[in-house]
Amino acid sequence: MNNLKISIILAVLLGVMYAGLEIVPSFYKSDFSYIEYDKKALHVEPKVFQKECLVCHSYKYDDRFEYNKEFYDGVIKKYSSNPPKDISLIHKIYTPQEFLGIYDEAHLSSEHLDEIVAFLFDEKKDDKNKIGYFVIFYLMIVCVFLYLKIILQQKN
Amino acid sequence: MRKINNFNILLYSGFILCVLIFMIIISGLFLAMHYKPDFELAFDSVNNTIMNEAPLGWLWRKIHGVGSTLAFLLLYIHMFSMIYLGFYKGAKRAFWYTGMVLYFAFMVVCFTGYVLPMGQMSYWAVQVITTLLEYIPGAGEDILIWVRGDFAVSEITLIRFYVIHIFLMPLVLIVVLLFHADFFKWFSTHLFKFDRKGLHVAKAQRYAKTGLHVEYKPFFSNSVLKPMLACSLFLILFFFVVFFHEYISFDKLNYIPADTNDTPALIYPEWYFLWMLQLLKSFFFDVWFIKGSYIGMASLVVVNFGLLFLPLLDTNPHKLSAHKRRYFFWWFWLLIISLIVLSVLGKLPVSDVTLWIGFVFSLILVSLFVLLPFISKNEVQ
Repeated sequence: MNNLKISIILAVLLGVMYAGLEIVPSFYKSDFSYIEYDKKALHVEPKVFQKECLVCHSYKYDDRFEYNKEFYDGVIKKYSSNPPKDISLIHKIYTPQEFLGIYDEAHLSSEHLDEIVAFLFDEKKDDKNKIGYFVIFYLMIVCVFLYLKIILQQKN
Repeated sequence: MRKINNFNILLYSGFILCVLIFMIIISGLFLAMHYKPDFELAFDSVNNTIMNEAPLGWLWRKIHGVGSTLAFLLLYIHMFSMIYLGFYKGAKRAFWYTGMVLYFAFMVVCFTGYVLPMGQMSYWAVQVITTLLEYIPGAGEDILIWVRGDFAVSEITLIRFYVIHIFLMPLVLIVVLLFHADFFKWFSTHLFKFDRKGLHVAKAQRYAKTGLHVEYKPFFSNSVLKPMLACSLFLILFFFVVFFHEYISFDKLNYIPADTNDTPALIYPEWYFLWMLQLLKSFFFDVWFIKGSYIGMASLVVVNFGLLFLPLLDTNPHKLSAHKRRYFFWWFWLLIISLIVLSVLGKLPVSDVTLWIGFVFSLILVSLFVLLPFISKNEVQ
């Protein structure tokens, strides 16, 4: 078998694996709903907060915090490539009331919230990306030199 | 663009794996300088000290985490390509057995390492997976307490997992790896024995004794440059994942500190253990007086021991690739398909459909190893 065949087979297998492990589970909705859980636990009307900031809502009414799906997808997943500090630090920097106040006053969308999180927690983002580009560029040059060296030796 | 002769990417997977393990060990050394094996402090030491305060701590952690994920991917590729090529028979048997010891050691290393950040998923994964020890007949509960060091997962568990992760298993890994790579033999007989063109003198002499005409290849370009090229190509992919897509190996639930009172809705291990988890879950009904969980545990043992003793199960004496064998070709691809299906099912929430599909494929997987001696015997006839 040549390299092309092997690469195609490996790519197909990895593609199937990736699709299976990342895409298929997204079609399945978990039975567990934080909002429903809150309704049962607190007997408080959560509609006001359910799309806004469930974290602060839970914190305010139940002295605990939970993260809803939007919060995960919007903040943690996006910035996990430039990982935030312990995400619960939000509550250490701002008290829940302060955070809620800022959130309400500014009428922040989820995009703006992302920007705030980026500002608070990802000050190293540019440096990290720069190192990444440098390392990959360096390895590409190494590959080219190795390829040329092997080809030259083959000729001789 | 000129083509490089004799460049097969599958044959260099072992070399790349060695480089990757070396990188994991080096990055682990730096991480160990900042990590605190304490139930209360572990989470903060990983997510705050290492990720934000230690110089380049974020890079070491990413290399360590992504490295282990990709090392397992390569390990599977290496293992199954060797099965496909039939490189586990005859003189290659010793390599297969040492390789399988490495595989089991690496599983332990990855599992114990997954526990250390003490996030929600770490804590609950170790809680669930150590509970599986209960299903060992006879002394299950005693073994469970012995492993945990306590009646539940606690700081004692964390510290002993830490010691296993940073000392015991790496030691086993390095020693067995030296045997697996045939290092001692290579070092004693081959090193520095080249003529002016870089041709392998020892090999040439050995071939000369047999009287056969064999074209032997220059050592430097074949054994150094080509693996280095393959390794560099892989490292481009590796660092691309490390810098820009590293969330594939860090579960988002692990950014939340472990809470002993708050069980996550869905607990699952890393992707490389998913097929094992599904194998355990698949036997969801009791058969007469035997519990389903015991059957699941037994099937897991059968599959793992089946892989370990593959050279004994495969009674076909000819060292042939799978595509040159009549039944083994189908056996191999059925094995791959069932492993992929079980891995996917392992990540899905439990439902009737997933349970039944899982049951069918678990049955296929177990029966593959039971039937292998008969299949290979039939091939010879």
